[in-house]
Amino acid sequence: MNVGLPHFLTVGAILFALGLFAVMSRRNAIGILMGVELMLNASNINFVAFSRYVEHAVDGQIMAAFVIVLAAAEAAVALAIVLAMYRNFGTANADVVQSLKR
Amino acid sequence: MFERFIPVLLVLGVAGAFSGVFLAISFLLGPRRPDALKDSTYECGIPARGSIQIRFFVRFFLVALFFLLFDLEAVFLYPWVVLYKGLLASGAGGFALTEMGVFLLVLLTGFLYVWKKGGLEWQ
Amino acid sequence: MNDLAIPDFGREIAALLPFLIVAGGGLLVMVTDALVKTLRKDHLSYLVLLVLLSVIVVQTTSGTPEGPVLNGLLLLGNFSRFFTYLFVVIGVLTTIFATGIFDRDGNYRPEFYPLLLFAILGMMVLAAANDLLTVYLGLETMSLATYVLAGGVRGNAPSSEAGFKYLMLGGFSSAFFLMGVAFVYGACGGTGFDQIAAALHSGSAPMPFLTLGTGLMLVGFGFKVAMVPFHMWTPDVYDGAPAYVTGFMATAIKAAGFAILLRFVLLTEPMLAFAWYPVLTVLAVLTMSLGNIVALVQGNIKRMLAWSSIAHAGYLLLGIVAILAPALGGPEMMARAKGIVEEGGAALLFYLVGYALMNLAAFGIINVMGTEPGVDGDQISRYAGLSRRQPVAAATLAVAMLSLAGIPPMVGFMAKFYIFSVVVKAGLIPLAIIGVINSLISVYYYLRVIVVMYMHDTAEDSYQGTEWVSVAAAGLLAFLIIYLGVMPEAFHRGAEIVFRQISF
Repeated sequence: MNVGLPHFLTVGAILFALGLFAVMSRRNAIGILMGVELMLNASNINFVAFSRYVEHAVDGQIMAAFVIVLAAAEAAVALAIVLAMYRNFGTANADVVQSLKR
Repeated sequence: MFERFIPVLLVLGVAGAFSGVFLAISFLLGPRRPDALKDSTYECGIPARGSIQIRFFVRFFLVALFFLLFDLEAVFLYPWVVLYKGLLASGAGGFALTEMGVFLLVLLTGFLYVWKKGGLEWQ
Repeated sequence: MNDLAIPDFGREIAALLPFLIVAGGGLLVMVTDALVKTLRKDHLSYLVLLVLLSVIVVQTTSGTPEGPVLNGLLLLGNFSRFFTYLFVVIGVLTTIFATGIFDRDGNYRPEFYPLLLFAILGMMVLAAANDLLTVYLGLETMSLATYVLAGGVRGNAPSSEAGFKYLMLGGFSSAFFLMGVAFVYGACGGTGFDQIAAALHSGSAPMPFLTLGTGLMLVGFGFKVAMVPFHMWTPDVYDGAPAYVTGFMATAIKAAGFAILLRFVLLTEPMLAFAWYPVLTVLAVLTMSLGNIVALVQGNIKRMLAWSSIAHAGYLLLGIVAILAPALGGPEMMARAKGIVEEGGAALLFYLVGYALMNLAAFGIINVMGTEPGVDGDQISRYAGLSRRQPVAAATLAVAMLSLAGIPPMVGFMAKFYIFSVVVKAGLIPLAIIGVINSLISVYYYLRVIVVMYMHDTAEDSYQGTEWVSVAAAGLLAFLIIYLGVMPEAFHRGAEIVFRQISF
């Protein structure tokens, strides 16, 4: 079996779909975050695959490195905000925190 | 090339079948007399106490975040290290060193901020 | 960015000086905040103002080099400079508004100042981006800072809820955006705008990847500029965030989002005009109409302005649609095309500036009227009789509302006039009619605020104090709104020159 670009794209697509499903179905803030991280990593797979099979250079890999770091920064900011929300509302459930809908 | 993995698959299959059969036999034939102690979580023979949903001290969480951030910045060091020799040879070593110095200085500023704001204190 | 070319150090530093000042200023403010342990933190605001003003001075006086820098990651020139001015001015006003509230409540948010500077840095990078990498970096720098700006008021439940919603939906949309970037990269074999343009002009980019990628990227752009159907976060976030942050988000983020959307649409136009055109037309109509109709029934002024900002995103989209129209028209169209593209771009830039002026004036007053986010004086009924208690504040808010509604002597009228006339010139008369009908609908809810302020009796619990610095700043904006409304030509022509640089 010859592994090529389509295989990597398929893995990326599956991972992206799983992340999307997690974001849609989870009510807990941390669960949603994990879904978003999955989606970001799905793009990373695509970046690295494209850089290997299409561009034959390192643009995609550089991009992936930046994405890894920014995803970590986003996770840190997200956890801090979720913690602040937990302090104010006593829950991290996205469906419960709806005080602004008037 | 796929053929080489057939033995591995065979081993996996046999192992799965054996354990499945034995589990099924003990499930079907074994006596079942449940009580509270038996149903409790097995924890090295010590009786389990308390809920698993304990509250973490919030400082753990903060330190973990700081570790995550500063640790991941190291991602940018790897390509720099790999390229540094080439840059040195082409006479741009000073430039590369300055760039990484500025990058580390920015990180250091963040570290200083965290430190002075009391983010690292265990109180 | 493939080859390891060693750049001309002096030129790069000189070209990047505005960016370096903002970044270094942000770090400096951080360190100052950490080292100077006083209760009052207003010295930080002076430091921020100093940083922002020095950006203006540097950019105005030194002939900063133009063209690509950092191996083509950024493209500097009139376009990026124009937006830097806009972001810096918005930043100055936001600093003034925020500091007024901190001083009044004696409750300082020192982390506000560096985050504001970092958000501005992200926007500057976004407006100067010439590579998908810098687009993503700028977008995330801007977003991460604004998530905390919106959600970081301690012990304030509405603020943390706003921050949470903004972050969750923002992260979600940026994941889509990133996937889109991956596919565009895969289609074009490079992340640089030059490489993408080359691949598109030669027609070698595979269509499925390209359309998929661009469509996913549109989700990210649509989220940032609050475009229907990616607008769900807007009312809650605008409502829950403190008013000084809402004003910043409504103006600066929208401008940054449209700057990059405009560049990206023009970049991908050679192969994708046929797809952009119907999609953006439908989205523009939906965005305008939904925004205006829902704004009609809002009793909370921040929620009303949130829906109004969605509606304005729709008007701005009309400008982009008009720019795209010539690429699809017949040969007779192509003859006039260049003029329409430039006029459309100029109208768009003019609109962004006018929109920033009037929204900042409005949020400047709302900011002073409120007590704290979420429980603020956000109900329109609390503005009853404001004209008798606070004539200057009431007049400023009235000017802002008239301008948002597009009533003649204000800048809002000229902005809409330029957009609609270019839409008509592009032959899209039905779209122009829909736009005008929408503006007429919007007059109702903007004027209601003025009626409440000037004709209703004073409400019992309405706010009595004053923060004269913020009111004066907002009043200055009101003056600019009228000035640019009466004499728009010079500025409009300037906007055309600015735009010419990016219309490939």
